[in-house]
Amino acid sequence: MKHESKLVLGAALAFALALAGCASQGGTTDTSTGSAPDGYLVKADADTPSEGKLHIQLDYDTAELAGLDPAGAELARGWQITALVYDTLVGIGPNFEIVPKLAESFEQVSDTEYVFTLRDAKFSNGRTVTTDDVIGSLQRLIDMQALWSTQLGQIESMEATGDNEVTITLAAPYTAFLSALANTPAAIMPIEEINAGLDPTTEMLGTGPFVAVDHRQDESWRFERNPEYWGGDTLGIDELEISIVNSDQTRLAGLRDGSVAFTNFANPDAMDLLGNAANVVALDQTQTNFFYVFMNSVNPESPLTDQKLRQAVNSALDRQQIVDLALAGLSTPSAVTPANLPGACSPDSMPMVGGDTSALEGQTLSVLIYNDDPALASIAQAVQQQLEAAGAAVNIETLDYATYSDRVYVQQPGDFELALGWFAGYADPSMVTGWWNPEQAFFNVGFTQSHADLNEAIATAATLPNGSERDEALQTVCELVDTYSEIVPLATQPMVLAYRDDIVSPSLFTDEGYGDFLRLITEFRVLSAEQ
Amino acid sequence: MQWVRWSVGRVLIGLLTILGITLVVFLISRAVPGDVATTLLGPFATEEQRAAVTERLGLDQPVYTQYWLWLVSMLQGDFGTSVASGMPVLDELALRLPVTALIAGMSLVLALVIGVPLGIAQALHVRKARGVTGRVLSGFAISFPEFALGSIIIFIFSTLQLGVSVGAFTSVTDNFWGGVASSIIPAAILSVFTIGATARTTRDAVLDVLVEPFIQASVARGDSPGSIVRHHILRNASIPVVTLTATLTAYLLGGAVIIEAMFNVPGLGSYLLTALDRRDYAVIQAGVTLAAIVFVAMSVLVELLSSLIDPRVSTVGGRR
Repeated sequence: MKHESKLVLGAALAFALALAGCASQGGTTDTSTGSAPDGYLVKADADTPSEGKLHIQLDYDTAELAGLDPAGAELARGWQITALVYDTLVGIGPNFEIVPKLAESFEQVSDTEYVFTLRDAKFSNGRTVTTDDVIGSLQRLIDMQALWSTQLGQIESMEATGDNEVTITLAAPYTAFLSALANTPAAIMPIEEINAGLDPTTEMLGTGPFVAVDHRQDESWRFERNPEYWGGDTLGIDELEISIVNSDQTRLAGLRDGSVAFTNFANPDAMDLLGNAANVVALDQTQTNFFYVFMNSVNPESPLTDQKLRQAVNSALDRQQIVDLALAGLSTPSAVTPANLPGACSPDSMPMVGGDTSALEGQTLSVLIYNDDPALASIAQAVQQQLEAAGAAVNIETLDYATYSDRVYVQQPGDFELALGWFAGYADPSMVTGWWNPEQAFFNVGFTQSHADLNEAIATAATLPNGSERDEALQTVCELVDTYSEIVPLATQPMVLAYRDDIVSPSLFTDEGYGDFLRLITEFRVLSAEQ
Repeated sequence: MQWVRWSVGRVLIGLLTILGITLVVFLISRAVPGDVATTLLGPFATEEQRAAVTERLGLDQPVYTQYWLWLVSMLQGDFGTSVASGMPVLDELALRLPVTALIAGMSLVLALVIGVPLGIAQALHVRKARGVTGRVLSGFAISFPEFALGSIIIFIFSTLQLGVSVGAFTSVTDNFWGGVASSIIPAAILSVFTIGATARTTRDAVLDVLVEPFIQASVARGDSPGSIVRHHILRNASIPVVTLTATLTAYLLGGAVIIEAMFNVPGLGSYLLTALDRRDYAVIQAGVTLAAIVFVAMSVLVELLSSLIDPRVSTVGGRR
């Protein structure tokens, strides 16, 4: 039933795309951003009154086993939703620099020591944030052994070194530490209330701009202004309503008829589809998330246990063509370090570029994809064409995500040959390079081997401070990954963000590391109440 | 008395059918690859984390134990808790059932109010232009894919700004009249098929009745056409229509997934589809069981109604 439904929904979308394509003939495309500052796609009009209700739509809801607890959130949508209620010590600015947030200032006093000075902030229940909340939150995250616990690095000690000052000492230098602190799982939680019985998996109590007043799973969220928010007047919205709308077609319709102010599309074709819609601005925010292809080097039944064949597949892939054909030209070819992060490796400089593809002659390979992401099917078709041009026969197998997940991540060894998917790219290269070490990443032990030289290169790059030496170390990581050709990066993931310019004036960064395109929601301004 | 025994037998068979469906659904949901621990924990979870979740949800117990525990809980009114939302499944279903029921009800009313007269008219004018036109129209209505019609409607209404929003659905549980207004277009699209099917079934049933000797006798007696339709045709042609209505009701309650997804209707169909994606077993089992109860109940009701309309239905071996 599900598969058929997906097929029919796919047919419906294709039909809608055809309709929209007809309509766009002769229209004009409005994707201009005006004169936005560096690092911004668009900057909200700060002169607009800071009030009003905003209705936006998102393509899917957060659904985590940890419920509403940000510390246990493992996926980007969970980070994004909980970030509306919770704050982190530091945040991410334009171009990925670290900016103050709940900490009004911070200082790295040595390779391993960081000092944070807290601002005078309160939780939405009126209680002032203390150093105990900071230390308790991070200790709680470490103790949970959640996904983000590993991203913090090795914390040796945390202590209050003043009324509003916390000093954190790492066991070893870890360049990505501040970037890791900037994501919502490292949010500062109300430890006193949690110790008194508050269950953060069902109840949200934070210092962020909003308080959650209603949530219906997979249907809607309603947030209201947090009267205790430390940002005070910078918050431009009184009430935020989020509808969860899975169908691209319906979100397109909502923008066209003005029933929604802002929404997102993982489907890059949305940019064209909205080309001639009145009062609609569509922009592409470059994510550090990137698409990749897994090649199963562990399962003895997989022909890709042969490194030469894996390298041939890697060499046959034309990343720029994948971007142009499958991603509407909206993304960028990427190596292991996401292309839009500072100091990223150039995919053109990888050893397998232009390499020997003769091992593909006469091979029959299958590519596994899942049906939730519209871009994957397009990428799979591009990959299929490229490998077939090199002499291989390629079958594409489309599964629902649960089945895909079972065959790729759960079964040991993984039950596949090639598989497509995407990773979150985060805000520092060392946060994602760890996924190439199966002893650290866990999820890939069923299809990738552990390589001592690669593991060492990953660890070295993680400890070096930003600069040319680290760039070289990351280049070594990229080249080793390319040589082993087990998890091969393809291109960054586009995210089309669209809004009604007669209803809302938003602020959006050009690049995003944690999938949080609502990162600047406090700057959004409501222009019209009619939605 | 024999009719009562026959009716009780039908109800018992219905209950056994529901029990069988619960078993099949339970086994199938456990047999499909992937599980809720994997889908919700994500790929980065360790084997230990997955095992802990599996144990917490009781999924490490033998399947027959899981089934028995679920069955006992269900009979006590506890359909379990959704892993995704953390809410009792019955509460979740109660939020969504009115939304789907309203759309299904509106569609069904349109089917009966338009489809039955249309079918009778087609049968009575079978060789005339309007009869042929009606037949073509009902054939077209049955054949036209809902997703195509839905796409056209969404495009037209959103592009031409016709005053009805198709980009934001209002649930009837939040705002009754807003929900009714939002339901009109999805219900109308669903009703295209149901009107066509009802008209076609009514036409065939009436044509079957028209050749019966008692119709010729009635005509020979000089009864008026209206009287013949009311007293002889409608009653005798109604059994297939009643049967179809029951089938359409079950279809509309559980099968209108495409339209729900297209119009972002927070109904039963889209809820079940999402649960299936996540392997949210409690929701899948409760949802399918509920659909089975509705379907079986409608089937039993139709059989009972049919036996009242035509007593021959409840006879065994041709004798009462």
